[in-house]
Order: sequence, then C-alpha cells, then structure tokens
Amino acid sequence: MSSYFPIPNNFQICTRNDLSIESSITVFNYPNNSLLRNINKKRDKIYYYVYFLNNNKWVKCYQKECVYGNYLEIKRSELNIPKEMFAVAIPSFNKNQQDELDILFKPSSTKNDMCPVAERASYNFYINNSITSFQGEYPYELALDKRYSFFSFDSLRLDRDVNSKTFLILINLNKDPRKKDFHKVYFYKSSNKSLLKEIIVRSNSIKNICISDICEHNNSIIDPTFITCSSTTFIPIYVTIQDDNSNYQISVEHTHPPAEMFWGETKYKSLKKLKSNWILK
Amino acid sequence: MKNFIKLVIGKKLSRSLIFQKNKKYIPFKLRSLINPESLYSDFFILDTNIYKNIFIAENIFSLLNQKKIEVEHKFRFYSKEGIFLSSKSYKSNNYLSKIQLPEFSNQGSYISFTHESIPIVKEYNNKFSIPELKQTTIQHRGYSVFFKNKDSLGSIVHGNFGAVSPSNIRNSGAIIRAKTYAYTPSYIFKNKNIYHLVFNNPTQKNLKIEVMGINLLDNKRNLFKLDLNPMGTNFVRVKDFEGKISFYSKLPICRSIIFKNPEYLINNENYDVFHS
Repeated sequence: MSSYFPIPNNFQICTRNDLSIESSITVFNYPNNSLLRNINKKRDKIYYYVYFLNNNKWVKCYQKECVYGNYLEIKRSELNIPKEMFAVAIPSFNKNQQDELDILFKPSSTKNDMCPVAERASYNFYINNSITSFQGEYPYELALDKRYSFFSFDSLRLDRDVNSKTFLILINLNKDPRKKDFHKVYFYKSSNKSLLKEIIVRSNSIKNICISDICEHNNSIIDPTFITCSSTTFIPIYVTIQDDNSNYQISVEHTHPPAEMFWGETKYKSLKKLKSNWILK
Repeated sequence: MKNFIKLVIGKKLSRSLIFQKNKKYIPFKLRSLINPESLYSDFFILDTNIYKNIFIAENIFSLLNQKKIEVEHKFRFYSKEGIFLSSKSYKSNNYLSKIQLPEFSNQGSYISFTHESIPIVKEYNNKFSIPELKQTTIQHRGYSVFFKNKDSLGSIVHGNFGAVSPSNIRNSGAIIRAKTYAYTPSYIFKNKNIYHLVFNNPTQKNLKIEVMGINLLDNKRNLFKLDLNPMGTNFVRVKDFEGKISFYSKLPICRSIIFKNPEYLINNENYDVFHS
C-alpha cells in the first residue's frame, strides 16, 4: 500500500518565450484515511527524501524531517539538480538513508490500519499565478520488475484553439536505476488504428508530450486518439494551459487505469480482452 | 493455506468469512462483492451555477467488442435533498462521448447524478456478445468537466466513488458502517482562495459528516457539520482558512470534490476542481 512520489520536471511550454509549467508536491505525515480510533496510533517522525537518477545510481539531493501531523511542499525548482533529471520523493522512518542507492528502498507508510485509499501527495502545477492540483501517487508495486502494459486516450484534453495546449506527462519508475529499457508508445486513431505518432520512452523517466501537436483537438470527441504501450506502464497526467492575453488558466487530471471500468472478481478477464483489442504490439 | 481453506469450505463461504473479518475497512456490501449487479455507477456532482457541465462517458460495450455499438448514455439526477429529479438520455456509438448535461436552476448549488450506458440493439443487451465475458460487471466511472463561465478553460475530475445501482438504488454497493473514519486529503487549503467542499451520499442511510481543521492563521478549530439524505448532496464553504482539513463520518471512504474559487465574482485564473 506504500507509494513513491515522482516529481514532474518543470517544462517550457513555448519556444518563443521561457514560460514554464512548474511543479511541486505536498506530502504529509498523517494517515489519509483511518479509523478514528487509530488516528494517533503512530506518531513517529517521518523523513522525506528526494533521489535523482544519475547514471546507474539513485543519488540523494533532499532530506527533510516531517513531524507527525505536519506537511512539506517540495518544489521541483528548489531541488539542486539539472532540470532534465528524474527525481522521486520517498517517505521513510529511517533518518539515515544512504546518499547513493543501487535499488530504491520501499517507502514507509503513514497508514495505520487497512482503511481504503492509497497514500497520496498533492501534485501541483503552476503557471504564473494559476495553480491546479490532483491527488496522486506511484504505487510501490508498479515500480517492481513486473511486466505491465498501458492504455489511455486523449479525451481529457481541453485545448480548443491556438491559444491553448494540452500536454501528456508519462511517468515510469523502476526501483532499479539500471533499468533504462526503451518502450514504444503509439498514438493512433481509434476508428481505424492508423498511426499518428510513435514515441520512444525510457524506463525510469518522465516524458512531456504536446498532444496538441500530434492530433487535432476536435477529433477527441468523434475519433479519439488512443495511446498504448505493450511493454510497460505509465502514470498519465494531462495538463492543459490556456493563454488569455498572458492571463493563464491551467487544468490537470489523469485517466483511470482501464481495470477501473470493471467490477469484482471477473474484472481481469474483461481487462485482458480490452487490452488485447487495443494495445498495439 | 488460503487456497486449501478455499478448497475445503468453498470460494463463496471463504470470501464471506474474510469479508466478516475485515468489513470495518470495506466500504461495500458483501452482496455487491459476491453477487454484484450488472453495472455500478460512481455518484457524480453537477454544479448548477456555472456556464456548463460536460460529462466524458466511456462506451465500454464498444471498447470490449472492438467495434462501434450504439448505446444510450442515461443520466439520472438527484436533488440536494436526494430526491430523484429526472433522467436524460443521449445516443452515441462513439468509443468516448463528451456530453453537455442539462441545466438545473432552483436546485441549490450542487446536485448529483449517475451514469449508465445501455446498448440499443438487443443482441448486446445482455452484457456482451463474448461468451467468456457474460459475468462482467461494468463500473461507470467517467469524467466531469466544469466550465465556470464562457471563457473558462474547464476543470476535470474523474469519478471516484459511488457503487450506485442506477436502476435500483436499493441494490447499490456503498454502505455506512458502525465505526467512525477520518479522511484527510494531502492538500493545504490556502487563505487566498475560497473553497467549496462538496459531498454526496451514495448509500441508503443518512450520512453525517463533520468537516474539521485547525486554522493556522489564528490556531482556532473550525468545525462544520453536514447531514446528507440518501442520494443527497451538500457543501461546506471554506474562506479565510489556511491548513489541512479532515472529514469524519461512518463512510469508510468519505471524500469531497474540492471546488477552488468557484464563485462567480472570482476570475478564472485560479479556478480548479479536484477530488480529495
């Protein structure tokens, strides 16, 4: 049930100026869901570490204590690392985590019972004075060396004219820093499976893709673009910005994993069928 | 060992025993897990005061059959008090549809609705034409898009809880338990914003919620109480507050949709809607 919290890179939205979408995460030392009687069961200090991927090591670049009941906001811009480096925040009750790691340690959990809902951070995206947020996480199990696949679609895009753009942020994390496999991500028309774009994304990376440059926003209604990968999975985050004469609006959301379309014990049969229909090999 | 026990006492009995042991952590009825309805819907929120509400609906029949199948996307709307207001249907064979929802004036600020899709052609009506998927139970999640005014970019929220059986709400899956739970979103509310924390009640019993936070501006405790009828909707307005907020109730997953700066006079720049 424990979670990693990858921190999205800040990225420039336009080559004409240096305006960027910046990110931060807000993390807590407090159970997000608990029986009331258990709420104060565990009151230990927790330490939030940030490691970034450097060659074949996870290298520590941030460590901060968080007392019970408190929170931290970790801004990407305040991490003293190159802007393209992949960074991940990890909670731990151990205050002496190593400076360099061959394998990421398992995150500690602030949960103190079996109440549902995974541990989450607030993912915040900024542009000028506008901020948009969602509650998200990267489940520990997804960072293990298992084979997964990926299915999403562009219906969450909100771009509607030349003044707005939608970006897809694909996040993949593996505990092992040596994992740098290349994965083919296909963007294709759902109506006839004609390929619009093939993008290579590496394991252990965050990739920002401008969807508005790949396909027309109008098509997302009648003929949505499907986005698939047969060799790994990603957390897909859709960020749209709109420029109203330099007053910016920003919006973020992620698509559900496809398993969420089904309920109960038989859901995996249906999921298997759905994936075999749509995931291009 | 687990498999051995399952073999000896049978799958359903074994699941019932595990359920009984852990039920205080499970937000669903046993029946919905061992003998589910053919479909469940999340319980979505509609803002009656804004320019428009759009719903992004998945056509799961088309996606599973890998061809366009015409379905009726049916929405059932419930008032703030939980009274059924009306239903509205839209036909489409698209894999995904963006549907503008009807306007509801004089219904308070927020109401709730369910979504289901029903194939028009009978051949697909009894679940799927694929034999091995006859037992599939569909979960309608979908996405709500809120446009505050004509110039608004829009803000999206995915469905996050409900387990409502739209055609017979007494068979819905969500349940209120005997224990009290505390849910705390990992979000710091900021003094410069106004928030509406909107809750709805997908269960068949009244839901009492206490919304509580210590305001870091004056170290005082702020407490709001809500009492929601079954299928009802209500909200707490948060202003001049800085800090974290918790929700206390007997629903094992009780989380609001957070509307940041939804009020008309505040400009679009910092409008946001997200689930907690």
